[in-house]
Amino acid sequence: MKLGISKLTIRYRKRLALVSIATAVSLLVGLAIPQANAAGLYPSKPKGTELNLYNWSNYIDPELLKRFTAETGIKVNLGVYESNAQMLAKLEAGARGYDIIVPTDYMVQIMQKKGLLQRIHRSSYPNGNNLKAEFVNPYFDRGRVYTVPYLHGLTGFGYLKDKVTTNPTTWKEFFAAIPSYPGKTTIFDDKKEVIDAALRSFGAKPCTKNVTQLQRAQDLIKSIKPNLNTIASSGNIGRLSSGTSVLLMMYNGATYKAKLANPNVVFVYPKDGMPLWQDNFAIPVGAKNIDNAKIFLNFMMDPKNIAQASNWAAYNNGIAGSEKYLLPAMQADTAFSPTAAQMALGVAMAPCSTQVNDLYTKVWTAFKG
Amino acid sequence: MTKQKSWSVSHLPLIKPIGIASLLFLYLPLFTVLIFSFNRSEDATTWGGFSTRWYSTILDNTDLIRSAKVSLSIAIPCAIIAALIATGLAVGIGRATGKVQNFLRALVNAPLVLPEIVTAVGTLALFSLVGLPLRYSSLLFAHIVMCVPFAFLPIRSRLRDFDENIFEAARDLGASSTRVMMKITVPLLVPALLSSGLLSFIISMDDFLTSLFVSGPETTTLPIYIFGLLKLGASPEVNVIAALLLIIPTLGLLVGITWTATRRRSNEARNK
Repeated sequence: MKLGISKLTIRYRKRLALVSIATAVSLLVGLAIPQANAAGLYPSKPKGTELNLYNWSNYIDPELLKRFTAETGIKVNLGVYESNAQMLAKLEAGARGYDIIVPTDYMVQIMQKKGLLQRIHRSSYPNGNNLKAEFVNPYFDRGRVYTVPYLHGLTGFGYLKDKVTTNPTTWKEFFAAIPSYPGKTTIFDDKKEVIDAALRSFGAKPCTKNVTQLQRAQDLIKSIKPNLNTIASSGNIGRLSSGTSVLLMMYNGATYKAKLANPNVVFVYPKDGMPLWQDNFAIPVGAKNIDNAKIFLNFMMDPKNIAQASNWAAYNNGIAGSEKYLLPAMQADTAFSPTAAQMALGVAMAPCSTQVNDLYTKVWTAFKG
Repeated sequence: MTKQKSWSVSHLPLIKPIGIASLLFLYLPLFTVLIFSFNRSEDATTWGGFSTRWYSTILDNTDLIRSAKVSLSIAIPCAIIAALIATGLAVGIGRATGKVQNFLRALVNAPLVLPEIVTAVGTLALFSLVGLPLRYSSLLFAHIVMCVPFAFLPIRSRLRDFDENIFEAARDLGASSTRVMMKITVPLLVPALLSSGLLSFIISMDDFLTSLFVSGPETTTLPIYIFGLLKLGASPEVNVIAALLLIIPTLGLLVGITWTATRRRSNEARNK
């Protein structure tokens, strides 16, 4: 199964081009990426009045940032990226001056290996030990040396209980139910999420090298394709609450929001397993306001503050004690806060090896083509 | 041009339905944005009844407003400066001859066919190499560089249509080159200058890739902000800002067209 470049999807070609151009350019101009320095413990007071945050748009409660400014005197400037890959490409091409970035789990590992992250010295912060036990040692940052957890979520599926009456509880039942609702179902436009779910539906492990299993996953997703109204990773809240789709692959927080608009919405944590994704705060190399960045990290480890972020975004966080400040209705809803048993089904997913990733790309291209 | 035969495209079969379909295709998305800006729903893409609520809350969305302001504060000076630089280039290249002219023209036009991503990453690498921080001035500079080849096109074609005899006559009558420039070249160029400025304005407002790489934390433009919304989904306020950006330039364009039309009519009347 040798992979030809022409078989790659356009999206991945673009991403590949982006990263390789950035790397080539930075090598060409002999741009030495500065060593991650290990300067300093927790600052006693802010230095200067600015903090440059590099984040997705609309991914942190604006009121929370206003309160941060009111309490610390530090003004927050927001730079925006549209994907982890693009943020990486920009920092690799030499962009400097961002004090805080918000990389997703797997990206933390990549950036740390490339020397793009600074040590944060969390244990010297007043709130430095507020992390929930299960968020202290993620695979991408053992002991949380480079990052502080922000929000996390799980990928399962949502449905309308007045339309879908079979009560599906697993990926197996999810895929089996799709043909009953032609033109009313949706899955993510995401190679890894979709193929992983398909593999799980018949008991195979994600990132498997077993070609027979991958072929089976490919046959499965190709067989349900005619029943999908769209393949999309965004806009699903509206699709579900309005009934445009009655059965969709969804994040738990997004489903919670859809539920607010339509009480028939149900979220399922599939019993055959699902990915747990986590976003994190980190300090990249070239940060200008490191002291202010640390004050920000400490602020976001305060249970009350991170709870406000969770209340606004409808995704849970990794800070112990924040439960007290969560909206009661939200906390009571398992779509927002899974039970311990449901949470245990979630697995933090490291990226597959390059070899497996190439196989995934072939499956995905065959599916979308 | 010639009246040999009364052949016209409009006589082709099916031309009317095709024309109407094309217009619908062009304008339906714009109307959709307009209509959805009056959507009551919390979700930008599902209809939930008529309401003007997002028009009243848009001013509270400080990040969105700030990015719209950044976009405008880049696009306006960019349009003016790019049009001026393009005029200089067009006049200068017009005076060169033969191979030199071809070479210079190719040099100006080359960025039009280069993938923008290459220019964008290259610009960022250049800035970090010389230690230029990513601020307003660096983004403006990158936008001007990007717009000049586009701004060059209408001015160049307008200059080519000029009747050289006018300039010769002016010089024969003793006008200095500055005077020829101010009294003849510039007035004749005004329409081309306007269209080149408008073109640059639109390209700058619309630009995503270059801005994505060259913008700093204080210079997030509107397209970048909108693309970054993928994480939690777009707020309906995005439709409002799109609608406003649609209505305001359209009104401006209408005013401009009426103004030129009345002026032309009064000129014609005067000439008679």
